[in-house]
Amino acid sequence: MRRHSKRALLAAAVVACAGCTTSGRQPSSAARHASSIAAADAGVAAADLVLRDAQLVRLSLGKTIAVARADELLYRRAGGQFEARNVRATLLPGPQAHALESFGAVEVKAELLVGEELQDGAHTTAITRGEGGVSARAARGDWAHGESVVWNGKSGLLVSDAPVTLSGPNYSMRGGSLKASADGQQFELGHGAQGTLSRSQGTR
Amino acid sequence: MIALVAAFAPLFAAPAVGTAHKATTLQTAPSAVASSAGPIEWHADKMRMESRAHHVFLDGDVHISRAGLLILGERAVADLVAQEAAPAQSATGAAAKKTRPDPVAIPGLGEQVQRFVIDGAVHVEKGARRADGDHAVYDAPAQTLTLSGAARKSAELPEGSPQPVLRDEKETLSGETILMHLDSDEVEVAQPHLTLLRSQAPGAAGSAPAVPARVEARTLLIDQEKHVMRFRDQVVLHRGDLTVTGPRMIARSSGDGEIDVLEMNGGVQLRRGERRATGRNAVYDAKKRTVVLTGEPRLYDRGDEMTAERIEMSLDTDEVWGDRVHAHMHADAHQGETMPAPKAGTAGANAKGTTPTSSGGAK
Repeated sequence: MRRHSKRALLAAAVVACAGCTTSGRQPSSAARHASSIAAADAGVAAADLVLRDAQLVRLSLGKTIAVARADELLYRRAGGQFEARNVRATLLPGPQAHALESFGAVEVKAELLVGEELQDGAHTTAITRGEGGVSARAARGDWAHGESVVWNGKSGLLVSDAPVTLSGPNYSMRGGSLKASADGQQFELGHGAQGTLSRSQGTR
Repeated sequence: MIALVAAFAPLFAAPAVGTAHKATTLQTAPSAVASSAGPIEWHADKMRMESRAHHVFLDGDVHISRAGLLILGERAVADLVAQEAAPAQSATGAAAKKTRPDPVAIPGLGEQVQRFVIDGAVHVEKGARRADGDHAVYDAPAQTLTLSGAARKSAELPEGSPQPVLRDEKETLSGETILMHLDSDEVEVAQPHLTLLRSQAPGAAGSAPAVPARVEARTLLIDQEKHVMRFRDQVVLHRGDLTVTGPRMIARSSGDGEIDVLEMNGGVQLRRGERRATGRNAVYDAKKRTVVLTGEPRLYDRGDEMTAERIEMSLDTDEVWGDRVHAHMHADAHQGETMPAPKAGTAGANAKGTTPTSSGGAK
């Protein structure tokens, strides 16, 4: 539930930005900078909040653990919806993300991120879709790309019905679909999976 | 993509506390021989990983290939071995060296492939060799592939086989298990069964009918480099009513890939009807359809006994030729028999066992 209550970083940042400046409270995630907060134009008429050339920083125990930039971020209170365009995020290893320690810092790029909250009885599920191409590159050399992916905040699953490609030191894989959990317990490539496992450096 | 997943988790979700696991790097297990090393390529309808159990599951139309080796099957499981690796440099710097939980496992993408277990209509190709079975284990560090289980019907194997089948050059053999050494191209077969291809063809000018020659043993080692098959332990050659047994046998193939010669040694026993023979060595010539005994050979036939330096038996005509023959006969056992013209330079005996009536032979 803690995960769900936190929701998406971007959504949380938007919410924080909307409320913290007047409340004086220090949120765990905050929008440090927004070059402009523009009035909604015709294309974003439904948005309650629009950030352009936005930079968001996530903190944990006083340390920066993630930095995200977006050319434009739209937020709608109804349904907790947001849209972020041309997103570039850097995620740093730390206590919040031990999984990243094997990879080092990870840079994520997404052409479009769309998030919303879905009500399922008493539960709320945060769904985030990455579209138009989502890629991640780790300091270790791992690289992943998917045309579109869906992140389910409740189940912790990342799912894609479109082809995905990933590679890294001594391996490469492709699949027609993907289902993976953030805790590493589940990873599936479907609809035709293929890959290469190279021998390690240092072995003959 | 795991990096992507891991990246998404902190981006969109609350911090998660990882469970203890070792950081890993992806690689295949070290190979002792460079020729068999190289990337393992695979594809399947579906791939699934289990990090805790260190398994990768491939399901549906599985293809695995590496350095000229191709393995096909319906499903496969890769056993992974975690390997220590220094974590990638991160912005946390020296602070990261402080006490902290081990990183969570990243399934598959940081572990050695220890072995693949492939099941269901397994087909293996390595150079000119083809093998079929139902179950295979590819051991990456040992560079071996062990095949077992029944071979299903296929275009190359219309009848199928209750045991795994290996086609080596032109010959086809089966066995309880087939162990392929991928680094040396040697093959070990347990309880091998081999039917010589050449024996299934009619004799010269088609005059003699085809009589399949089958070989069984406890073990078989195929030496690809020397183009020989080495049968060991309880070696038995069957051809019609002929049975030749011995402890060791070498099968040699000719340039066309068909086995021409079977060389048995270490003490050979031959039986054909009422005729028995012994010797240290025996050579079966698949083209000439003869068996030649050497090494103090002895022939026994209804009380007759013949020794010679060399005894040659025709498998099509039952004729026997000896060099430097000493024979002891019981003439009353051969009444009514006729003696054929002796083979040039040898003492001859026909199918009825009529041997020279006195010691000593030609040549």
